[in-house]
Amino acid sequence: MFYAVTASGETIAHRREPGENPVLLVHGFGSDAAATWGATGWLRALTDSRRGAIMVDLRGHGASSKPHDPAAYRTRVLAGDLVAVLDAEGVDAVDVIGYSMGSQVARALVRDAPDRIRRLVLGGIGEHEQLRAWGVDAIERVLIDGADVPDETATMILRAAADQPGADRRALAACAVGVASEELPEAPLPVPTLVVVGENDPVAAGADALARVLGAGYAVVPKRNHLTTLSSRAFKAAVLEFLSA
Amino acid sequence: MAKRTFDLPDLGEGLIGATVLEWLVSIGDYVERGAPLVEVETTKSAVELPSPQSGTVVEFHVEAEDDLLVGESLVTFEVPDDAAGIVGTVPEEAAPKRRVRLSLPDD
Repeated sequence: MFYAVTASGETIAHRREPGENPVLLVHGFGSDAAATWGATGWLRALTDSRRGAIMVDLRGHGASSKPHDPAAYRTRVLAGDLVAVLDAEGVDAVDVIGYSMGSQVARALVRDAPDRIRRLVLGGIGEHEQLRAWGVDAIERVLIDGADVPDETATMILRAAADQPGADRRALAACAVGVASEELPEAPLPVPTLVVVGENDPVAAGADALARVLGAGYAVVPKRNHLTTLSSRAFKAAVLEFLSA
Repeated sequence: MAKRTFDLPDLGEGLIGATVLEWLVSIGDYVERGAPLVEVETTKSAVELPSPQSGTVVEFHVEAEDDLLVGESLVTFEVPDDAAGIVGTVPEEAAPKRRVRLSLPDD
């Protein structure tokens, strides 16, 4: 594990898996690099295709700094953390795979540093940014107060994040609020992009419309939900094919 | 040839079981130890389990969408006799035991 230091002094944990053309892997809300890309078999799939990987713990998560101020989680800041990691690894431009909130961060990276991305995979997102759709009140009620909210998916995902070993609930709430506070550009992206979502993933509703707006390809993983899409062989196959094109 | 059956391993975090999502090998396949074996879902995550054994897959004890508890039979391999060992032990791949000196040095 290595730590990139940002301009404002936070440390961003990252790890390099040897191999050609490393892929930058950006996990989602309330998870970390090991759970999202290690346990699900992604590192193995990349290694088997002779690809390297750069895995990052987003700030607020895993072994990275966990500030409690929502302003520290603006997408511009989160994208800047990825640039700091690429700089620390001495890598110019990479393929990027994001999942869920990690896909939103990857979109911010395209917006802020398009020359650092070759090809982009946006997994597990749809027409509406999920944290924004749930709203600040619901996020804080589940994460800070430990209460339920009417949206069962919101309660389940936010609670799972809060219950992770080592989770910092205030940092997670600040992250969710920070990410939810702004909209990302809805225009064709300047890099080849693929949107991949599970057929039964409510978080990714309207992903086909998002793909059209972003000028991206679109793939659906049959029968999978927001959680189980990640580990699926179909997801990995679609992405590896897209990245090798 | 001998048969070895493996159970669902402890997945940590207090999880007591899992649901099979998809087998990543077929009956009759030769699988290397550490290669992707099966994808399972827990209440908290989706996990790809690596094969605990090099060998030929001869039986799945559960199918996709089945639930099973930690410790219940998952898969049976056929392995060469010299790799099978005595039931309940894994002689080929056990870590070497460290020798510990129990007596005090003379001086």
